[in-house]
Amino acid sequence: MEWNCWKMLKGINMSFLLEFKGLICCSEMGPSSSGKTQVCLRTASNVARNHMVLYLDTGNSFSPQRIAYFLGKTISPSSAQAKNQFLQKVMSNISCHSVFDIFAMFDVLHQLESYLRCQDGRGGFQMRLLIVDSISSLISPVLGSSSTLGRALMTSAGYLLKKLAHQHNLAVLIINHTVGGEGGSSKPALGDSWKCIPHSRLFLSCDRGSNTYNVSILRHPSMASGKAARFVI
Amino acid sequence: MGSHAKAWLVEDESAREMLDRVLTERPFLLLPPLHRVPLRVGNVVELVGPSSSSKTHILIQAAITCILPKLWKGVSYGGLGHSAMFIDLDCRFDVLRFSELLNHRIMEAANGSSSKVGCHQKDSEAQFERMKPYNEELFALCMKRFLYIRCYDSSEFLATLKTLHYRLQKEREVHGVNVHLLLIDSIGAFHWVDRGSSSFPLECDNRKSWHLQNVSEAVVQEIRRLLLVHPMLVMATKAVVLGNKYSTNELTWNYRKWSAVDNPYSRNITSSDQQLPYREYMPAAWQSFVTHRILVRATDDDLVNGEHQNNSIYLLKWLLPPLNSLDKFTVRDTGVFILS
Repeated sequence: MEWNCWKMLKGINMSFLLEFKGLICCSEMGPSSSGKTQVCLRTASNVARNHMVLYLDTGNSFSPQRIAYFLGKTISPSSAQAKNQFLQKVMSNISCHSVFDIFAMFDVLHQLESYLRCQDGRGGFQMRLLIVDSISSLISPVLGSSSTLGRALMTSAGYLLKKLAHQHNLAVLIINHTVGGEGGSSKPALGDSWKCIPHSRLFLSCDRGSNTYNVSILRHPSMASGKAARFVI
Repeated sequence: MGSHAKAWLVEDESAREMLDRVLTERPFLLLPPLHRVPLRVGNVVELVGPSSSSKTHILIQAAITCILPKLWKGVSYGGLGHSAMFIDLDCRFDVLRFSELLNHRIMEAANGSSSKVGCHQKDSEAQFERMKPYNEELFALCMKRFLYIRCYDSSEFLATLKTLHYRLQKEREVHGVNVHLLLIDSIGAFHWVDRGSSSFPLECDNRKSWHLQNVSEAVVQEIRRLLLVHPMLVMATKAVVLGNKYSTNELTWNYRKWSAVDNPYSRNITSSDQQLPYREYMPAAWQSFVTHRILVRATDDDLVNGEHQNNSIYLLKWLLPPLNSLDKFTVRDTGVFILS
């Protein structure tokens, strides 16, 4: 089953469209305040019109007001009551869970797995998007250089997300941070072992003092890496 | 009784006949970009490289070469006409990209043959339209020969390997073609999970504990058993982290290190102090099973392709058998394309 998530991001002026097939995990990374959470909220608000969204929030950055703002911008002006009803319907499609450590995330994901297994085949709204904001704050505390358990947890988390994406046709959007590398350049957090887990990786950055954001592809199964686009939210 | 004993001494075939038979049934494969060393069934090839260095693309290219027929409805496709088995441990296989590459190869071969006849532009377009239903039929035929399995952990991988014999036998009965290629995407995918789980002991004493070494030995044993009954070429990818001194500038690749292994007799002595550009993490059971090893990585250079987008250039180096040459290649819509 194929559906285009990013095509629904109207209002973001991107010069090319990234297609998220129902099976792909995407990992977004960028330095602080590069618009990662904004992109997640925007995506969630667009997808929630027709499908269900699960938002795993690790840093209390989920903002219902912002989602309402995004939705309010796009619907045609009508009566306040109709607007309220529309907002209620869409907001009820988004469920937000706060997770503050990796074991809580495993818990939520296992519950989601059993829920989706019962839900498959029934009609109505289907869950189509899972957002994890952000996975680096869950995994970095357990990643130590001496013990291997941290990396084992990271790999198992990655595989669980991939399994959910493949078996239940979810698109998974993961937020990662950047850390300082050698020579002052920034590199994605969670190291090289994490690089092998997501299907596609995007790098977001923000121009100082303006509202324009840059996104470039670091890895994609069918597009050449290095392609970039600018957008405003 | 005497005639039975004599029957044992009569030869079945001469050496020349046997060589002819083996060379036709088990041909040497020269798959670009691995064309420097001919590969045969029974070889185990390991593609080593950092993340996103087109290792999976090389596997896909090999699979497409395997599943395309040699000759079909008058058009030569240059394939082997056998089945290929893809075990996806990375779970990142993009089937749309695979079908895109297959389609491009089919169309390229079809166009190539029509242009050889020397048709006019209009004629070749009409011929392409006529060939289209054939192409779809051929596409369906090729996709049926591509077998795909996805495993999410080591126990699923071992279970797959143990039951693969029966699956391959069934495929042979249904399609009448043998499986010639076993592709494993990312043999080291469950390395950290297995290493982490070795700290949890199993309750019963008579079973082997779930150590990294045990899992690796079991995998190698199962593949060896499989190769006895279904002779195949095994190609596996492995993601590694390259050391810092191997920067993207290809001039820093030090040829002096490799000159010690030019003499094949000294290979055993110098292999221990041969400095690999990456840290080897697979257990010894797998390392000794591998017969060929190739290192690929991306460079920072881009190939400007006219109005098309830039394609990254990748470097390829043979580590086992060690060759002194560096191949450059790039990935296009038709597949892997060698530059030098």
